[in-house]
Amino acid sequence: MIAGLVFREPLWWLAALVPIAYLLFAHALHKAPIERFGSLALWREARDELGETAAKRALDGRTLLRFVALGLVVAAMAGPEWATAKAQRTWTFVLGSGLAAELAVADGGESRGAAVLAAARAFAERYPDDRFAWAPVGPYVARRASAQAGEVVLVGGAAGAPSPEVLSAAPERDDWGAWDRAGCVWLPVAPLETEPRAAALVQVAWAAAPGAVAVRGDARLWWDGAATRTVPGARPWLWARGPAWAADALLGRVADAVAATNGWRVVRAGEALPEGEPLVVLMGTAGGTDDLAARRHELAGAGWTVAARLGGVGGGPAGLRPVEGVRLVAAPGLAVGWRPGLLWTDVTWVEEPSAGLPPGFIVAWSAAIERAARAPSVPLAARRAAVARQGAARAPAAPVDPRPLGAELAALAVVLLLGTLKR
Amino acid sequence: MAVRVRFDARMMGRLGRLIGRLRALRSRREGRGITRWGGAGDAFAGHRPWQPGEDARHLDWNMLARHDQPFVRVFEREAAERWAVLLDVSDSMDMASDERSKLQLAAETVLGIAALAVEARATLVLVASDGRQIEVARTADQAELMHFLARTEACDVGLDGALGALLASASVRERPGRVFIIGDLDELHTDEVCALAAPGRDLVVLRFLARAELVPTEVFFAGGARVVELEDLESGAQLPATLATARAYERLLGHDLDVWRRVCTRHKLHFGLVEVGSDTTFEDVIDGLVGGGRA
Repeated sequence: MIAGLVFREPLWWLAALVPIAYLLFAHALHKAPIERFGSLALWREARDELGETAAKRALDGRTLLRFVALGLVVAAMAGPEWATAKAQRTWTFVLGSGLAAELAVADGGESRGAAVLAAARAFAERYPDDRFAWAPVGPYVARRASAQAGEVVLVGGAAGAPSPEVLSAAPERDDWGAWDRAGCVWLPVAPLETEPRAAALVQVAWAAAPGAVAVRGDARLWWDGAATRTVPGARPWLWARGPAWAADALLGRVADAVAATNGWRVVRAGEALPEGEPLVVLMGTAGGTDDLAARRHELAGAGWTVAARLGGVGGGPAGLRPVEGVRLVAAPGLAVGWRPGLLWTDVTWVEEPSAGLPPGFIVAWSAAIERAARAPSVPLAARRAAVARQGAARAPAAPVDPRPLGAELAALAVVLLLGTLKR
Repeated sequence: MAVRVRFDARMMGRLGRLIGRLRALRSRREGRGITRWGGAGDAFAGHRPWQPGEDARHLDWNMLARHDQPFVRVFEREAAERWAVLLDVSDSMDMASDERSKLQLAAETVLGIAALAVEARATLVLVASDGRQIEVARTADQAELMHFLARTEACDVGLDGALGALLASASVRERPGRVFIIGDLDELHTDEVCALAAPGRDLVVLRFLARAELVPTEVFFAGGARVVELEDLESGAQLPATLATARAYERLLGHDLDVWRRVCTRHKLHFGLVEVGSDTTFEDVIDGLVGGGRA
């Protein structure tokens, strides 16, 4: 390589012997004729007068032009290309978002959202000299399942690297096609409907089990262990179990409101269960001691406190996490817990304040329902790990492709040779 | 490197014709009282009838008074007059023009001068490079001229024949009445030649130059050559020359020739430039010397 100029066929430079041989031959042929002269005294005086100190034995212009032309032909045969300096490339990570981001990669493992972020960082480490950008994840609008709905909360956004929570809170990405170009890296959290043609694809491994893997409007993507299929018309549903979630119960009415807001159904005892799995099981304790006084507690949250009766069974199913914004006042134990697909509460009854339900109560319980419902349930025991697949990274196009110069050099050689023809 | 001259079989014939022409010219001129090759110091040779149209100042008035017929006096040089020819036979004289070297034409000119000497009743001595002298008696006949020709041809003229050295030769010290200096004069200075001038002595300087020496721009560069490698015939040294150099050389040569002409004119020397070429014959040179055309 010579200052940005590379030669694809460098062996052709051996042919440079041809123009060199021509130059030597021409020099020998066109050696100045020797003329015998009587006396050179006056000639020396003439040269001194002109100040000519060096012998002028230069080759004529035509010979030099032919030499240069032959050299250009050899250079053209060597396949010259002008290789511009590689500019820093910019990769764009396109992260999958939506409910599937909340799914666990493995039992008890990190979420898919966290996994794709880790995969993006690992990808970035392979190209330390390049730059990386994040495709916008999109805003998440949380609706208040209350009469005071209207307040909009934005979670996440276009700037910076999103968090797993942002990925799971955001709507499912439907603009993959817009990012199908060289330099983009797709990191989906759910199976894709189309394969990228120009972008790179990185799929993290996740535990695949038959069941709903994504929700799309009224349809649901259902993986049956062999293939993913869309189940149209399968409206997502909530399964309300327990007296606390009865239709006339306060929590039941909150659940109905949340479902109505999101287009879900609430299925209760006595109703036929729809196909597929519920988005979330709203589980409540049934029964408990008959000592109503002993079961009376207070639930509190940010700016609210209500009286509630608990079942007293304690704990709930394994793997529950505390619900943010709802706590049991002055009593140990977990009164409300959740995990993806399950919202459990030991509450059997909530007393509606005479002054009306505080907005905070509505917000806390609706958020808890929606959080539990973002991750479709994976109830089956049989699991099969999806094989992680990483497509060939298609690097962003260089600012300027290597430009062949052979034709230009050959044309210049022809022009020079034509210039040496005698008129 | 010794150079040689060659005289072909026609040379004697040409010399004979030249002698005849010179003789006729001399008769015409003597009849008219013109004796260019006579001049001061000539001996009285006799009378001839005056021809109408001749200058009346040349009439012998005594004869007119005595015989009542116009006659003119005729003179000739002293019988003991000697002519010396100093011939430059250095290697530079080997330079040719149209395949004819300067030395060849110079040697032929020497033969012509020998014929002129015979007609002028003078003894001619050719001083060669090695100091040997080839003499032609004033009464030489054709056989003697042929002998002179052969000796000139066989003379080992070589690279030691510098004119400067010849100027101090004994033949010159003997004070010949007429001295011919023949060569390209490349190593001769005007002062050296002027030093030979003396009262009663005619000095004739003939500079022989090849056409390439006179107009190298036309000979070497007319074909578009950019550089010419010149080789000195005497030293073998080489010198590249361009068209610009050739133009400068011609300018310097012209100045040099002007100097020779001015100096010779000032010292009453005869200077002649002879361009050696196929068109130049020794008869032309002799005609130029005698100042007249061919008969």
